[in-house]
Amino acid sequence: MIRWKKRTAPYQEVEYEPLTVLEILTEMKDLSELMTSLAYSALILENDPIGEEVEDLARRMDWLKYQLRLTASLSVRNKEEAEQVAGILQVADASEHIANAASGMLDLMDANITLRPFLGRVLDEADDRITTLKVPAGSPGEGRTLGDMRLESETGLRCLAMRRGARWIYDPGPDARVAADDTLLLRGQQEGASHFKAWLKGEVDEL
Amino acid sequence: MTDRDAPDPPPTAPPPAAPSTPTERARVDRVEELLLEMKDTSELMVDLAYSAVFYDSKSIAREVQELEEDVGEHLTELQRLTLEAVRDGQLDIGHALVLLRVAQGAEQIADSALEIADVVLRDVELHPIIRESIRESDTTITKTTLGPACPFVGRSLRESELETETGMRIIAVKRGRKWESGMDGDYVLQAGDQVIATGPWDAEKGFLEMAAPPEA
Repeated sequence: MIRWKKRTAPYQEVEYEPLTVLEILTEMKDLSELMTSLAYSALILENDPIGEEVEDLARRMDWLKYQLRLTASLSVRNKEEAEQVAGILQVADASEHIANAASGMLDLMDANITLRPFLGRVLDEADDRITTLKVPAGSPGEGRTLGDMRLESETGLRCLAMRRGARWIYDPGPDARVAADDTLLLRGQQEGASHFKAWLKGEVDEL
Repeated sequence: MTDRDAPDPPPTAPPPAAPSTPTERARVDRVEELLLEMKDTSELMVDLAYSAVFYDSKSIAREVQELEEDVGEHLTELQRLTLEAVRDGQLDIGHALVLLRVAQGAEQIADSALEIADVVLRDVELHPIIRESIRESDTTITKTTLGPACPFVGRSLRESELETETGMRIIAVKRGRKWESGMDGDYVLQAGDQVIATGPWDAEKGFLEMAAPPEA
């Protein structure tokens, strides 16, 4: 029996915050990509907390879009500017639609759990694989930041999230520091993941 | 000219709802293959669409348009095969629902990518802020032409491990007049190819240096 998940976001008064159009548009693009990756990760790994995070991000996305409308409306003074703003709003709408599609895929997350393992098998054959790696104590990775390891450029892996204890840190930036026992949620090709795993264990010297 | 000329087997009344092809497993396999392809294509399309805007390139935007048509066709095929598989008892209804839902999501992502590319196709005026936002985002886009001394030419993408080596991913190649996308591991890059790659900021410089190293 399938239970369709009800999504009832609480309605909140939205206040205008003076963000620049550039800041909003950039964050919307980043969010749409992050949410897509996280949604697929949640389906592949059957991970409900990641699914819930996608919902939170969807609310942030709504908020950003509203801010963009306000900011853009305030900035328009003539027809030429209106035409340019129309283009900006179209790109922003598309980012939001991507985000909606990503969270829509998770509507079945709380359906009967036996449904899902097959999806991991199907989707995990994709070019980019989702891997979770635990950082062992005494690992060369301990205390290093994602930026100073140059994780993405050295291994092609993108760190989507880090779990520390019960807490997840999403879309960690280059300053995020890796600690022992962290679990990293990574996206990238298999060779990169194997190499990084070996490095974390101290089996190879060079990342 | 043998099989075709052989006389038809004597007609027996086939059960009305039991198609013989594709075979049971092949049908479900095809559904899974379609879903995977839709996922990969839709994500690639988003990258391509932003590239089209970034470079104000109608040619890249048209590639997005073509891929969107493919995804639409894949969705229709997937929906039909999934329903047939359920009808014939090869696929559980719950599994079918999940497959249809994820496929629909991938198709919506593809649609949204086209919505982005549409800005270029319809000559909507591009406010410089759009370009800047793509530049400023976590993932950057870069374009270059591969030089003869580039270590990635003449070998398949799988052999050269370009993505692992540089952290950048090739999303489109222009050889001749048209941008093409969807290169798999067997794809062999050539000197003179124009390429568009996406990846993290700090990988771009190294990538560009390897793409066109000074000739010895």
